[in-house]
Amino acid sequence: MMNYLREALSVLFVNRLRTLLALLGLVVGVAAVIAIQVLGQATAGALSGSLRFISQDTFVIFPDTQKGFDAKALFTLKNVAAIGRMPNVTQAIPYSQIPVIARAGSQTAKLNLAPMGGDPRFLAQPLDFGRSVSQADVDARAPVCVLSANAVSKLQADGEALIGRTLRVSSNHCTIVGVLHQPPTGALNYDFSPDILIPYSVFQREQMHGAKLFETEVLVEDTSQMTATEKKVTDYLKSATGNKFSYRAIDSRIIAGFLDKAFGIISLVVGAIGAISLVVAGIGIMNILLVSIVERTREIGVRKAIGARKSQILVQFFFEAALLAIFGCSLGAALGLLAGWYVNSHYIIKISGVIVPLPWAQAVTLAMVFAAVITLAFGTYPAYRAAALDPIEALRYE
Amino acid sequence: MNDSAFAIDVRDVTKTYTSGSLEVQALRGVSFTIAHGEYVAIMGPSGSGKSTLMNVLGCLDRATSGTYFLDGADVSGLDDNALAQIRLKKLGFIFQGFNLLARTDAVKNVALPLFYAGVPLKERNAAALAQLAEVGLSDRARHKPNELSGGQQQRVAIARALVNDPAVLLADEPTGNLDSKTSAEILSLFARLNGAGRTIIMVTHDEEVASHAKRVLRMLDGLVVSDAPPAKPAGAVLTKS
Ligand SMILES: Nc1ncnc2c1ncn2[C@@H]1O[C@H](COP(=O)(O)OP(=O)(O)OP(=O)(O)O)[C@@H](O)[C@H]1O
Ligand SMILES: [Mg+2]
Repeated sequence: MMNYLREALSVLFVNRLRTLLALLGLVVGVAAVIAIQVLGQATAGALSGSLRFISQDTFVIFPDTQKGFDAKALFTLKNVAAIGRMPNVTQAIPYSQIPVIARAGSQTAKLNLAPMGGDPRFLAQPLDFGRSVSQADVDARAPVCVLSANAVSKLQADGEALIGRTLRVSSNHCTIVGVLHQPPTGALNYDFSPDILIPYSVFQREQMHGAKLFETEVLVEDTSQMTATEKKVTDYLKSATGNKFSYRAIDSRIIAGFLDKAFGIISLVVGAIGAISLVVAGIGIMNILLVSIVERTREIGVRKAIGARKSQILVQFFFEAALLAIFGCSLGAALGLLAGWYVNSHYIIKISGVIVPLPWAQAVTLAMVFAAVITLAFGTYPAYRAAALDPIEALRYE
Repeated sequence: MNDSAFAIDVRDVTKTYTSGSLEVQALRGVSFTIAHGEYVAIMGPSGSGKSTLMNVLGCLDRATSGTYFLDGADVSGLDDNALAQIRLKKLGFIFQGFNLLARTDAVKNVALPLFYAGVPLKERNAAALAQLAEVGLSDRARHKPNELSGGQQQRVAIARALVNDPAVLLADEPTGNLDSKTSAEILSLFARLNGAGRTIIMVTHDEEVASHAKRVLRMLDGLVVSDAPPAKPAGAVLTKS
């Protein structure tokens, strides 16, 4: 075995140029697949960071506007109150997000204002400082608010120092009682979370002025029953508006599902591209090996004339293919990881703020599996062809 | 070397090539024996079947009919692997075109048969170096074929043919690609090897070259038509040995 290995190594080394050419396709193919994998994972990781914007315990429900918007699909506070009394529902609040100009001290910023109920489970992020809006605040219509980390940074303030200070929101004001934790950023640069949260009772009085409602946010008791509850609420709203409209519920799992689907498609496409490029690389290897057999016909003839058996030629060519494959795949894996790491740590992190660990194990496994497949699938035939050559004809070959 | 009566004993050997509907009778019943230690030249016009005969003798090809005893053993009916084994152990083949592995140094070329015989690397290299010394190329051991003259390349090829200590050395026009001075070198090497007991069979078109052998088989149309000592008396090289 060692002998064959050494002989194969020496043949590959002696024919450096041919070896390099054979390696090139393989290295590029494997490197591409692994780099794409790293990047795919980085992107997926970055996207999943976005999910943290939504509370795990609530869902929002609104008219399905796919077939156009109809004002008759809007519902009332009475409907929301009825939803609040449904089983598994802790609280249902009228929901809306309104862009406002907010001012704290001398700083102003454009922020989103939204209502929340008297339960910290409405919050998508934990609190860094202060407290949440309480049920007492809701009941008393207390002018308090909780700020997101984004609001704090836009107001160019220190989160802790803002507690207890007054925030002016258009013509109203509120006392800042809490500041939320900075969510992990994701590649979806869409911010699901509002910047200023005030008791929904206050929101209703100051912003809604008795208008009909487009959206309600529902806090559920048992999140494992969320889908069933969503169905019940949807059915209720449907019948409450005369069975003419349909409603859609969205929660963090549904968004995760959308993203999963999107990742699924991305990874499928990436996988397909990878598979194709690997097959192309494999055929390239076979081609080089076959060409090298034609080129080496005389050499094979000499080896056979000297007394090499068929099996010895076969094993030797097989070893050459295996060495090529192992070397090419290892090099490709290393380059792929390097390229993936570089793009990940220099570019993707800037967009997403997320850095994913390199898939070492996967890369090594892929390289090994592919090396084996290449050797078996694309090395066997050329090796067989070489072994089957007739020595006299091979020697006569010019 | 061996106690069997003949190195080579062929009886009624024929070889017919069929390409499509066309049949070429390259050998039409050849019989002769060659004893151990003989030095035989095979001559004959082009197409008379010399190379075909050499291929059969060299176990590179099988006779269509007839029997062939090599070193006392019948090799007529052997399969590919057994023939490869015979080539490896009992025969040394030298070609007109040298047929060395390109970009591979002299030692490696000479050691190649030992590789296929499964000899470990160190012993291979030692044996190859010894054989290169035997043909006077110790100082060229690490040179590649393209760094050697034609005569030197042929001497590397001879070393390779000898490295397995074969019963018979077969050479198909070994001086065909060489000038007369280099040919003389190769012939004196052959004479020395034969003097040391090596059996040599050599195809040539050149009467002068053939005169170095001790026996000449002449072929015509696939038959051996004469079997005699060389026409001209042996030249200076032979008297020297
Ligand atoms: N593989 C083959 N297929 C068909 N015919 C062949 C084959 N090899 C040789 N022949 C024919 O057999 C005959 C003998 O050929 P061979 O090569 O033995 O001649 P030779 O005596 O060596 O000639 P030269 O002196 O030119 O080398 C020729 O007619 C040749 O055309
Ligand atoms: Mg010939």
